[in-house]
Amino acid sequence: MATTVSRSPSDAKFLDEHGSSDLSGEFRRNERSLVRYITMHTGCRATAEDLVQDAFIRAGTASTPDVRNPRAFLFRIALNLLTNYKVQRRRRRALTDQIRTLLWDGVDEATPERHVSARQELSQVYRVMDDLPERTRNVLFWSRFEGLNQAQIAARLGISYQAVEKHLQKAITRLTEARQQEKS
Amino acid sequence: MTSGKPAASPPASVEETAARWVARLALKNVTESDLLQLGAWLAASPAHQAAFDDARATWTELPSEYRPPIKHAGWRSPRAVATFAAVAAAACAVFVIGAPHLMPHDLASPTGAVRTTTLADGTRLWLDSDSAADFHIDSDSRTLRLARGRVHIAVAADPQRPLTVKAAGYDIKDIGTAFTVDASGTDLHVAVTEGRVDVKRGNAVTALTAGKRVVLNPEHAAAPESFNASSEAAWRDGRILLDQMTLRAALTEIERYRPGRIILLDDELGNRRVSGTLAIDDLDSGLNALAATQRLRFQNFPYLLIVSAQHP
Repeated sequence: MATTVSRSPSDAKFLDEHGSSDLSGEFRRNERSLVRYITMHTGCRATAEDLVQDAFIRAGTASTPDVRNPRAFLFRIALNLLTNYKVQRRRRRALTDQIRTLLWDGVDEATPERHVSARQELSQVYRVMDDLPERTRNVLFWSRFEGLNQAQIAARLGISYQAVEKHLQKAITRLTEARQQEKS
Repeated sequence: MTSGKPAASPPASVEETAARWVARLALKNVTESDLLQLGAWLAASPAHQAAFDDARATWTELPSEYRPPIKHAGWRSPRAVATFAAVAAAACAVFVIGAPHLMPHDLASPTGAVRTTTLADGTRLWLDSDSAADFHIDSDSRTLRLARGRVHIAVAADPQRPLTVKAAGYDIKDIGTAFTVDASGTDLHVAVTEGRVDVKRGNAVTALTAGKRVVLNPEHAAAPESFNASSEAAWRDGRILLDQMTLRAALTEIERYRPGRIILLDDELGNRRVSGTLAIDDLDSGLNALAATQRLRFQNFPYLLIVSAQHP
């Protein structure tokens, strides 16, 4: 009676089992060259390693793996992932550029000189910042000056992702109001 | 208020909406379709555009020199204690084997965790795995005593109260900076990421500028050297970055974040160079990956990991 060998995900624990399956052994032998190749295209080794890991998992759990040429199979999967990654990266960069333009267009960061008339405005801003609840003030400061992202701020303060945005909105509203009052 | 549907909140004013948009842009929490929505909203009325310009000016012109008022001058910063009290208790529970330090500290971090806090004066502190410190402010000075481990400190400027870090018999005087002090080994390591510090012991003073670090030992003269900023900063992001590091040094670094010791049996093996990134909160995966790529054999015992070469 013929028996069929089925490939289950447990067969594909490439990094843990040492050559117990021909396919996983073949994949592992190609790991270094694949990572090197992908690194050239992504410019970042850590991203390449993640991508290759992902390719391993997909190759190992594929329903019809190409066992005749595992190396080509693996590379094909990795290259598809690389293409996806590049598309996403292009989109992300375009989005980041748009965001930066919306916020900073026309602002000359190099000369933040404060005119005499603005000094009163500044002390008013300081007063409003003193009066902000500490958590709100931290959200403001950490996002503006400490380079923390929304997830990091949420984690650090133990609040929800959405709450971070609410705090920042509140801070900006109050400060803008104060500045407008001072101007008039 | 009686049962039934809650009253709908009043629609946001133009100012609130503008502030919300600026907040979302600032947090980069927008998609392409969101930006289309924003464009439409801005075009809908000149009042919208004006409110948006005011709100974004608030953001871009926010004064970085602002420092929050100091609320408490005294030995214990209540906020810091509240953040770390539970953590310190856990640390005491873990260290049953040979725990020489049972004195509670203002600030502490258990093995395997990296903790951050903002002190009462606005200074930010990162405590690495198994670290403890005390902070004291009075009218003309601020002192951070590093009892154990490694801290990175981003000092809030305050000319009235210069900040000094005391560790292993050295005084590290801050001159408007961010720097790391590591007392976890036999020598004291100080690395400056921004600004400058003066490291003093007795009459000897070593000035250290940004991008330089020094290994301090009372027997030897201090020789500042450059260091790799991203490797040095990785622990604050919860990662260990190995960049062509010897396996021996890599295991020493990993050992900081695990309870117990790591012993390397093979000297030759220890000289091998390795690269990679490990997540501090998932060291087992990182160690397994290292074992696979370097063909290592692990023998795991309580509080002890023995590493040797795999035999072919």
